[in-house]
Amino acid sequence: MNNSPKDGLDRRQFLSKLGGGALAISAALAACKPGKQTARSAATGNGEMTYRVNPKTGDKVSLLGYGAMRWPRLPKPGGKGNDGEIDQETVNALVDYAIEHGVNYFDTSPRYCEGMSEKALGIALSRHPRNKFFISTKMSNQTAQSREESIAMYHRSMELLKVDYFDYYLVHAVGAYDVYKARFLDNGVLDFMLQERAAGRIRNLGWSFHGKKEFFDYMMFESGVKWDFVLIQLNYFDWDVTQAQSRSNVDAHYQYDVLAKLKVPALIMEPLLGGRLASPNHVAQTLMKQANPDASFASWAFRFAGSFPDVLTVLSGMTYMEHLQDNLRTYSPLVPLTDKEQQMLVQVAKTMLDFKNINCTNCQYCMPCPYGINIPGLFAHYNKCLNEGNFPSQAQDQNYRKARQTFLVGLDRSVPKLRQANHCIGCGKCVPACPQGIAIPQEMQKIDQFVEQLKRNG
Amino acid sequence: METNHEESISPQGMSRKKFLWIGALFAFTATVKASKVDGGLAVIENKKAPKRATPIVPPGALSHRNFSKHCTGCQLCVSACPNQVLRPSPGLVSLLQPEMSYERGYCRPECTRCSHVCPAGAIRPITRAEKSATQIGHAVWVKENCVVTRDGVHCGNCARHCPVGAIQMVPSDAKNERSPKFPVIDPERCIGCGACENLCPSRPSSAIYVEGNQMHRIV
Repeated sequence: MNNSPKDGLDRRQFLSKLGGGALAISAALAACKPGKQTARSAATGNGEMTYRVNPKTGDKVSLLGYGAMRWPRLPKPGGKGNDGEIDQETVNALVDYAIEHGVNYFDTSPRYCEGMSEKALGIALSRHPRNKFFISTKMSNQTAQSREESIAMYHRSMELLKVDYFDYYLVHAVGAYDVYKARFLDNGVLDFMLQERAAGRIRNLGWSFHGKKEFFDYMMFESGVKWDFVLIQLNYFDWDVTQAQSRSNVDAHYQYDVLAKLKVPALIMEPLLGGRLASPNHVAQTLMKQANPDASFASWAFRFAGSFPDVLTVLSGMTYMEHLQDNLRTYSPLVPLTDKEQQMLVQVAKTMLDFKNINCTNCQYCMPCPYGINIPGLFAHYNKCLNEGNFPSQAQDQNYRKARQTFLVGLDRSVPKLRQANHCIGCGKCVPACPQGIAIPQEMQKIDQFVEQLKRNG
Repeated sequence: METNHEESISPQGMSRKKFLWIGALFAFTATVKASKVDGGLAVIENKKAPKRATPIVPPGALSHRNFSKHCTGCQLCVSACPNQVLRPSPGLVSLLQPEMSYERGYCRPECTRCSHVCPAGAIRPITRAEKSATQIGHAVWVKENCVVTRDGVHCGNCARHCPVGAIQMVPSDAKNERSPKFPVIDPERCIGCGACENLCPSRPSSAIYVEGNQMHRIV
């Protein structure tokens, strides 16, 4: 066999032939052993990405949307943490890989990643043709609310994202009428956005929601705006059980039903609750592994969100390539949940209530705390120890000493002493910023008292 | 997906779009500091040690006099202290003899390590119960440093962390129950452990600090 270029077959052709051959062989092998092929064996799923169609524009949107809230970060100069500049090379690689495997929806905001997210996404996407992706960003005028500041923010987003129109543009994180009125009605910013939509520079106008039912109803039925889509928080934990938790947010079931009835596409955020559904408590883990030992914990959450037919895309803030690959596997293509699997996830959600986790999704909206506390870091450590069974509750317990050690040592490793709960003075500045309605100062005092008790019982 | 919008040229020769854009850019740069972004950690300033009239020495030392008479400056207690409280003193007379300060930590109620490693009798062995009843110093409040005065916020972090309940919070405005509260110290209950000083949010100088007792008292 002679495959040299001289014989009319260049390197590229050779490689593609070789690749095709390998593909044929592996396909044949797979066919020989039906049922042995697991979802994990393929890097990114066995087929094509599932797409959904936007009824207004006909956009064919990938079911997996890329959220730009959790980009990988480099350490600060001389530091060890991941709190420095955005790791642009890795972002480029992630975006390239996502586009290559069918992802075409990218969502960001001027506030994400300490305000660096839009720029990073703009750089990564500018290396691709504009018609290969849909871009989504937000009017995040929570603190700078004047008309001028808001419009400047809008233009700045265009500049950073290197685009001259937005496919999707959102009223960012509203949940109460008085806040909405101050940010969008009194200053004429909503009118501005409607004009931009009429001019075609906003192709779809929507809003993202964390809040009470009354306000959701107002926006859907009384606001006088025809919204093209709504971004809601939906996952198997928030679907129904939220009512049991004195949470400030209305359950996802209600929101989805209203949107489906009005034929307004639902976009999904927090399908994984900031990764919490990817590392659930050990009781939940057993339930999921019994149902399917090969499926990742995260895949259940993505299948849950994707199984609703009126969901346009499910956003995931993927920091790592492995997470991106896992999610691509889940949605290439989506296998909708069976009734039995749905019921299993209801059980999983119930175990989460028993474990009394703090409902933090690590969105960082509360940060930076003026007193230097690492709020999401402390909540993450607390939840992690709860879920892994390293929660020393009774000094008489058999594993108390080990659990105490794990909790305290891990605490100092994950959060420096000066950023721990005992430095929270309860000023309450973080409370209105939390989309999950967590009573942060009270939770901080709870953790503080818990730590103090552990230290004293040494 | 392409969108085209016409640019109308103004009489001055600058397009309307360009004009608005420059205006917007100007407005943005003027207000860029005001718009909050998510994430990040506030810089925490290091604490500065207050000037203490009497140095603080550990429970078990009985008195400053007893401590300085017996201490050989061997540094065993300094290396045994898990809370970074004990350190060699800078003074000439007491050179290398340790003293306590609360910028990096405080004298935790469950710890009696220094008293068990001292080979010279400068810090006598002590139990946890005895420690909790030994007054090595007393807290002093500095009103002008207190965040209640300075920033007008509610705090009470000192009172919340006092292991002996020696700090009470009282309304700063006697006529208004809901006004931010000031700490009031009961020196008869204070043991001088420094929890209040270490956890005070005021930086670089704490608004509450411990003054050493010449002679330790048992309560």
